[in-house]
Amino acid sequence: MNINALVIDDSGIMRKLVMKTLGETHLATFTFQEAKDGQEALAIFKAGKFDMLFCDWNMPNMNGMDLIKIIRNELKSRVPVVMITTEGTMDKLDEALNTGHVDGYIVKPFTPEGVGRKIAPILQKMTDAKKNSSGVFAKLAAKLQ
Amino acid sequence: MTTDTIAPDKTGAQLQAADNSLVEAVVSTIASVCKTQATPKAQRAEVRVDGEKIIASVSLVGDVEMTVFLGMPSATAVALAEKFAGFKVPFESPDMADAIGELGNMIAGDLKIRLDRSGLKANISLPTVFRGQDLTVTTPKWEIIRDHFFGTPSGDFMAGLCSRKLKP
Repeated sequence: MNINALVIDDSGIMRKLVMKTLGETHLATFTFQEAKDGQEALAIFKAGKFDMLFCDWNMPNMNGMDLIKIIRNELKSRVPVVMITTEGTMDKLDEALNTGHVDGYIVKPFTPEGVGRKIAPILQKMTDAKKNSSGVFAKLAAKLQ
Repeated sequence: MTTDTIAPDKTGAQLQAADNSLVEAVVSTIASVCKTQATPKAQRAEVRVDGEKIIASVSLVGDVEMTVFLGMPSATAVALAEKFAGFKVPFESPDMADAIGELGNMIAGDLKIRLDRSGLKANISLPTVFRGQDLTVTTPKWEIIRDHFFGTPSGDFMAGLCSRKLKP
């Protein structure tokens, strides 16, 4: 499975660490683009096509949650979003998870095993959705014939 | 690296609890992030902090108004950053500021959770990182509660806590 992911974090070393760790999960073949805050991420997201977003919470200019709200509410995108958080911002996550703005989260510090456990169900959902949509198209195509 | 003690600890138990929580937060964060044991040291004289240093500060604002400092000499910073990132991080690189800032952020996050359990709510700021020679932390309007020195197999470092007010 090929995943084009956008990694958003104001810390360059955290972006590197997220990309390295995702590669070490061996759950998919990831290609990455990076953004250092919400504003930059929004411009990159609008210009590209992404399968998944990995987004820090606390960032300058535009924080992670404000970015995700724009992506969900204004751009109407359902792209899977995984928040990168610390224990200190976990309390804000509940609402984001309950409203469906966010599909999952990883807590810093993280390991390939821990990240793998968090993103495997999301990747599985993406695979299932792809299968279902191809099934729908196959039925439609058959009907049209 | 030195800190000035501006005023004695006037608010008692809560400050002491926050101070104890800081030590726990540092030990826990360094263990989980850097996979190494940080041991609190009783005497500042035991700690070698000569030469170039780097300091990260993160504020907690809400029921408390505190700033957490994490400071270390270049050798400790290089060693801990490599353990944290899994690759070499030169002291002069932007990645070093990110690594020590992120460590400070995680320590402050851990402290926030511990304070939260005591009924003290706070939000944490983005980290600010300073790098230089013979850095001295002075905060004239603030009361520095205490600074703590830690030893690790990778070198020594300090963590401190300043507080302006606490919920009565």
